Amino acid sequence: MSVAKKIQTGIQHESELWNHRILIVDDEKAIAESYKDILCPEDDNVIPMSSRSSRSKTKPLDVEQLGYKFKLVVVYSAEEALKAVKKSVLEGAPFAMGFFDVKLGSGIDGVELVKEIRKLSPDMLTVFVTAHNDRTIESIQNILGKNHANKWDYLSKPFSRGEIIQKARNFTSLWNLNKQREIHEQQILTLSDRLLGMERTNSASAVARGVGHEFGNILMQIMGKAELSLNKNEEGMRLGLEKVVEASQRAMEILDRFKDLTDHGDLELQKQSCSLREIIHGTLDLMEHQIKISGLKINLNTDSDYDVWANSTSLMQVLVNLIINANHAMGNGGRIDICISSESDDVIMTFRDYGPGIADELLYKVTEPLFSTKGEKGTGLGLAICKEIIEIEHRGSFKLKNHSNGGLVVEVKLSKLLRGS
Amino acid sequence: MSQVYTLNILVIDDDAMVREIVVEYLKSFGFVNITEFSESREALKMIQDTNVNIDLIISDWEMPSPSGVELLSAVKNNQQRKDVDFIMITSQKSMERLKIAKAASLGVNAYLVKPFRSQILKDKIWQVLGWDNDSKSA
Repeated sequence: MSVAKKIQTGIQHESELWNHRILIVDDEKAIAESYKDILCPEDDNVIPMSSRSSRSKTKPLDVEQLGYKFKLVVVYSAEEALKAVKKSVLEGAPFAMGFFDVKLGSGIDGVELVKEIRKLSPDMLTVFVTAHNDRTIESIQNILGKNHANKWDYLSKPFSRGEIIQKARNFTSLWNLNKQREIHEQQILTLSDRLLGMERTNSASAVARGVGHEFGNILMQIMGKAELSLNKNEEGMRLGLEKVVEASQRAMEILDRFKDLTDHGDLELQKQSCSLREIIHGTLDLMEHQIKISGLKINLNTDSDYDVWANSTSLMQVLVNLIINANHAMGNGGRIDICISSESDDVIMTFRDYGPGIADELLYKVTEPLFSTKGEKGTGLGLAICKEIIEIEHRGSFKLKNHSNGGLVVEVKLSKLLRGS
Repeated sequence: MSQVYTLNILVIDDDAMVREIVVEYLKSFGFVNITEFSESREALKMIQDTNVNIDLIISDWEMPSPSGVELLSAVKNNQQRKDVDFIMITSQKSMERLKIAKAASLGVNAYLVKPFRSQILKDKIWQVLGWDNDSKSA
């Protein structure tokens, strides 16, 4: 089943995925059996755990009409209870909840039993049932710990049919809703991982389109010059061939840059000393076509240059993303300033656009995956990827702020590498 | 050169090397009245000036505004210009089908994907002008 399909489906109340399983632990058989009458008006929903279990005929109750079905396992001792829980976990069919008598004859009591069960099946929910306040709420809390406070409840004997049904309904629903939430959280994580991967490929394919255009032009020059030279004298042919060599050289350079950008391997191994200026200029070369088409004006202040220990592919990708982002923010014909500066041991690349900026209260949010101000244009991962590349892969800092005269300022800070070291 | 053609042709491409090759191709076919544009908005001005005689337009698709498609639509939506033949050049193979469909809907006369050899360009020109196939060998 696809992830999207799974998300749509969720866990339906009537489906097989819905956990109806309840464990009953009471050393007084008559009471243990009475749970069956209340929760399972039909005998076949009770799974006999021991030969002693009674098969008394029961009358239908209102549980069915409420639309809830339960599957009960009834046991009479702590040992049997642990055995049943172990079995349920091994079979991949854990209990959603259990009703536990606090006093269980000799041996450990219901609360100690639950503490042991937590180790086997941490998600199982508990209702303690007691006749004489054997344990206070405080003492149960002390034994189970505060972290489990939302996983148990308490019921006094004699209980009414309604109380048992209500606790069974609430706790099985709670277990299933918790499970559903866990599954959804996992699915969202999987999806955002996938989107992250797609967005990385996307910035490469955006560049690929530009490169395709460049190659068309270059081949046009090679093919055309060669063909036209055929009908020329020796001098004309020589000039033509020079143009062919020139164009081939240009093609080779573009291909090298493009390989850099799409080459994802072990990033740790690929880090090397690189000049920030060369990375900036290389990216602009690669994006020349898009920049031209979208009428972007780029002002560079890269007179001072520093080396950084980095993966040039990743840094180029940051720049590609920033340029694409700025273009989306400003529309065609916008202006971008890129500047290299230095501050003690750090080198700083400041990237400013002249778009509307980002509302201050959203500034901290835009580097979160899936946040997008671009509507259908973006997946909202561009800036999140930039932040990840700079801060996680390069241990630098990636900060956003609005310029006082308008536009978004992105400040990328990386450790300076001393030249010659 | 055995034959000279006096048709007025506009060649519009912001890429200097492509423009140069196309113009050289045209000259080798015998065309002598060729006007080159590196900026499409200058070409648009000439298209809108109906005092200028234009017989054929050869334009790149991917250019800063106005793009080749915008030029095409300016030609085909202009009563005085709508019969001017328009040959579109593009390089983006991935979008080719979509683009051909769009260009066709706007009334493009022929379509070329870069890179192309001189004979392909010549065939397209002769085809849109409805000239005799025999003159290809000219």
